[in-house]
Amino acid sequence: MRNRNATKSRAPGAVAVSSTGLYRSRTEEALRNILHNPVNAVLLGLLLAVVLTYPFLDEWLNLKRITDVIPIMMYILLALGLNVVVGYAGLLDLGYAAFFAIGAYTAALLTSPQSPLNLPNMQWFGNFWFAMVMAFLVAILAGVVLGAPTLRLRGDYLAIVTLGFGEIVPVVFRNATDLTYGERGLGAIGRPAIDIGFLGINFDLGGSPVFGLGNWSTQLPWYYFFLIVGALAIFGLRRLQNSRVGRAWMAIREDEIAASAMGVNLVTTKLSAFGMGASLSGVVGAMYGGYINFVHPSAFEFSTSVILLCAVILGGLGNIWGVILGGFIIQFFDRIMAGELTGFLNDIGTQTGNEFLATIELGNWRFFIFGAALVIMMLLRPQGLLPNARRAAELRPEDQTIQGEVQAEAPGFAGPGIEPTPASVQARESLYEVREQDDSMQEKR
Amino acid sequence: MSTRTANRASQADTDVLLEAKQLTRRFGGLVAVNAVDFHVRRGEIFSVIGPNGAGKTTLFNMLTGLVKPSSGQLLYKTSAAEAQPAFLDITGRPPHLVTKIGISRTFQNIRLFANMTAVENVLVGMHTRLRGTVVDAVFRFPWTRREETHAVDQAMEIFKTVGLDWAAKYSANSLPYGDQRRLEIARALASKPKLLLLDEPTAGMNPQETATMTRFIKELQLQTGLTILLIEHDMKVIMGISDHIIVIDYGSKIAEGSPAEVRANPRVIEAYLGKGAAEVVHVTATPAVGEA
Repeated sequence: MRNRNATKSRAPGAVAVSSTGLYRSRTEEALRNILHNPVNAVLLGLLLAVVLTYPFLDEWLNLKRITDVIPIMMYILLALGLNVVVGYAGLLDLGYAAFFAIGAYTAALLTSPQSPLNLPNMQWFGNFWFAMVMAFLVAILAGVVLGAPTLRLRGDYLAIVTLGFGEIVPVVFRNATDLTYGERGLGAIGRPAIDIGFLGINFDLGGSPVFGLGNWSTQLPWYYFFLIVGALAIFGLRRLQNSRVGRAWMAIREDEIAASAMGVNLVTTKLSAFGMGASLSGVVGAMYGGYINFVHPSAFEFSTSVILLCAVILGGLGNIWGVILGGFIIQFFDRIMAGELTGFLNDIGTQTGNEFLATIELGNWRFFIFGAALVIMMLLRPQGLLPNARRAAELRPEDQTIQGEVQAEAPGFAGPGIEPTPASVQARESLYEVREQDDSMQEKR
Repeated sequence: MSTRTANRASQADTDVLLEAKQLTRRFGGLVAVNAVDFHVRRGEIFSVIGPNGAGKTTLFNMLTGLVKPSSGQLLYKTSAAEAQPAFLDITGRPPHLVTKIGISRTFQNIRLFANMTAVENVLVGMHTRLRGTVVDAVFRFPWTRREETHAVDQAMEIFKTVGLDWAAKYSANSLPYGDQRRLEIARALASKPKLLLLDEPTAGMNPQETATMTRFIKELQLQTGLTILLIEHDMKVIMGISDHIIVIDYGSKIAEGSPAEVRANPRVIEAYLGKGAAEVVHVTATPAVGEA
């Protein structure tokens, strides 16, 4: 252990692990370090201020982008949920949009006037908050139901089964026309309203961008609604990460066998990861239904799952801040950058007479661009933009793997009672020689 | 630790912690472990030795529930206080339940949670002793907070025991090899086991590191009074610290006894060194073996 003494001598300064310090993740420790630099602190403060006041900035600067920003937030929330399953527990889920669909349809069926559940004696029917809670619960249930048959599967096989589930769910919603009106979809989905009569608070989140109701004042509450749910999600997920359950998820991701040998129940732990991941997307599904005010099956296809997975991988598996960044980048490109860039390239094309550039529509190239970005990421920075584990690289001994691979075998026979005599040492050495000769013979063959 | 083979059988009833009866495991046509019987007694270092491929690790995997025995029985004494020893049949129990009743292990090829910090590794080891659920985690109730703080304090205690107190916040894969082995032991200790299973704790170590690790295991046993079940093929490690040894070859138990008895057993020498090797030793090293 050549490096051991070096690390030990460095130790006294490094041992400042307090009980409370553990609640801080490594990324947040890094964040703390970044904040020591006043410039960074100011920049982060500005970012926070922009996030908190964006709707007003949007109006003031006349950006007219708030109807794009809200879906971006929605995707970030979905990516955070997927991150629980893929990033924490390491279960590759290619059908995550299914839970989103289940949440949205649960809300739709419980609030839309077209819904077959719209019966006279349904007391809570039409109440968005009730529908949202139900979407949350139904999504957890769906997560557990999907999780159960996949428990024995790992890696590729798990991905294929979840992919299948992701394909089945939209097809069911498309074909169960009695319930969902199929491709025509369900409309007029309930919207969140806060009506606390005795406090004189009456507040309704109306407005849908689809039916031309989208103006700034109706978008504003939606923005803050998504922001609050997002803040709660980040708060909860951070706590989960540093808890008994979160550690068990990560242990399963790192080494399933060792985790089970340490007393982690693989069945319940995996199911809780599926359930927790699905629950967030159930809630977001209900919010999506209320926001768009209309659900139809095509919104939940495979491409949605893939884009979410891209966001998680791009940002950094298992890191909340990374996933937020990844989701933002992908959706920002998709909804804002692509349009702007297309206009820019078209202008260049018309002015230079280049027909390709003049007619290019980057929106049609989005999957090509995502794919290329993902390949480049995998080659240059496979751990994502903000990776999960900040490794203390200076502690990593270079000879670690070599030592690990050399298996100490005991061809000699020597206990404490038997001091190795020259003869036994020679015997041992000759054994090695024999073995080495065998090895080299085999190599020659 | 006055474990003598002579009175072993007579004392077995009161002191036995784990008993294997005719434990067998077949993989297709291969009998990896063949009708092995043994008693592990409370507070001893019990070693399983045998050449590579003898079935030692399969035996271990059966004890911890990673592999289900094809036939045979495993009995574990759950309560020491009772006058009537309460034995629990743990044959084929899933691993997490085996851990829960006090059997914990390390692995031959280190299986740490590589991208988690050392202290997180140990906290996962405490999994069965902590109660926190998803709801507790999100709301972080006062009792959840107390439990976590207490768990971390205990983890730091364990780090002190194994001499890793400097390493708590570094990620497991950044530790030097020998310390990774220690961390694995720390993680196993975190479940407060009654029986600790060490699968080749000195694999991949040079003689000096091996000596340190051997001393460490002995000290650990003296300090905590743990029962330790050790797999090794490094005889030097075994002979110095074991109270009782069983020798396995081709899946069957070929010898059993104190270190001195096992060392003197000609069948062990031959089986352990292999047929080709035995000749070399007989020619060159017979005086040394004979002395013992």
